[in-house]
Amino acid sequence: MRNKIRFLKNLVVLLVVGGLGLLMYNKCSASKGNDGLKLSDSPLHVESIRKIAELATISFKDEVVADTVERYKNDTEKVTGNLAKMNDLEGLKDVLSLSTVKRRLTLIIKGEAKVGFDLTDKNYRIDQNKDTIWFHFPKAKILSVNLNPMETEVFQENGTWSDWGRKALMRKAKTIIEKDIANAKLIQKAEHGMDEVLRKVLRDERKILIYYE
Amino acid sequence: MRKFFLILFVFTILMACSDENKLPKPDIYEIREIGELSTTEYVFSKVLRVDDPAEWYKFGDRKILLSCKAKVKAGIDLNAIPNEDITLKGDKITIQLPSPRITSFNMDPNSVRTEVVDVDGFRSQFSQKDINEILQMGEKSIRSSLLATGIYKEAEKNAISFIKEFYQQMGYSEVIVKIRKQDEK
Repeated sequence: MRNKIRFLKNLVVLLVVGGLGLLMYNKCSASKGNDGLKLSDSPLHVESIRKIAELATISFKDEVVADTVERYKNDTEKVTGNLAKMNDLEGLKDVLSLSTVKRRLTLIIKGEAKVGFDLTDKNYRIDQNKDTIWFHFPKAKILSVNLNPMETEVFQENGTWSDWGRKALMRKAKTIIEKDIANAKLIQKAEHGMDEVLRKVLRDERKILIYYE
Repeated sequence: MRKFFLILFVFTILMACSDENKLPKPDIYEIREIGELSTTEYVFSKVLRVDDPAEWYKFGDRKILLSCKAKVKAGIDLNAIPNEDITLKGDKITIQLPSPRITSFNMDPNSVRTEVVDVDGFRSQFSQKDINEILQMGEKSIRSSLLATGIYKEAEKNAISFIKEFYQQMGYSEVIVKIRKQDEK
């Protein structure tokens, strides 16, 4: 009889511990693997269609690390903040090291930019006579900086982050890419690219003069 | 002796748990000369609905509804025109353009909005890692639906009209522009 009670006691303790373990797993493991996430089929809406004429002469691919860190303001906040992270497996590491990081988000983004000429508003002019063709084009500019989810990796996420935090980091990444474009003098290189493209598609014997204004 | 090992153990753990994770070094960028003429721009919107239902090892559901937009440009690659596809005869010119393709795809991060989130008490909230994964599925889905939207036809039509006008301004009286079908070459 005593053995039976002991067995039942052990069984109950085992079930409680197992159940709690499973609950903890559910609460903490979701960010590790997302095999369960399934996208429902929904229609694609066309919001607008626009006729454009953009001639891109430079393609620029860049990998950017965008990082943001928020730290505890004082020791009390550090201790309480780290203790609050104990419900998360990742947070346990912070508790042990008494981390000064309140929360942190780091993204690695591979972006692609196109530099060239926007001729959509017919803002170019071509003059010609029997000997010469004069092209007057607007100045080159950045036509697009594409940062897409398939080229974005969340490298580390510590604490809770809203959409706003992610968007701010993406904006930061875009600014870095735009700076890199300026540093690499791609706007000037785009004009050289335009010369190349024109000479390729024109089979004209006449002299060609190109101006960017 | 025991105390010493205990202190050593705690010290090792504290040292091992570095406060600052080292950030990865980004790759060197790549610059390429191209000649892409984008002639049409579509803006698409899509609602991304994800259910993460309960399983035998998961208690409760998680649901999220996101909305996003994608700006897609299509056009032709002028560098892909071989010499023999441009023929001149006096003031008449015939050009055969390559088939249109997607020249730019941008799922603007600022247009992504979380509309509804529903998470049961025993489940964790959707992290940014989860949301990024959902957006990746959304991007894949948009890219695979592009053919049915008519973007290529529109790009083809606009490319013909732009090239015609461009050569006419150069003094050609007759400009014939054709699109090379993909299987022709």
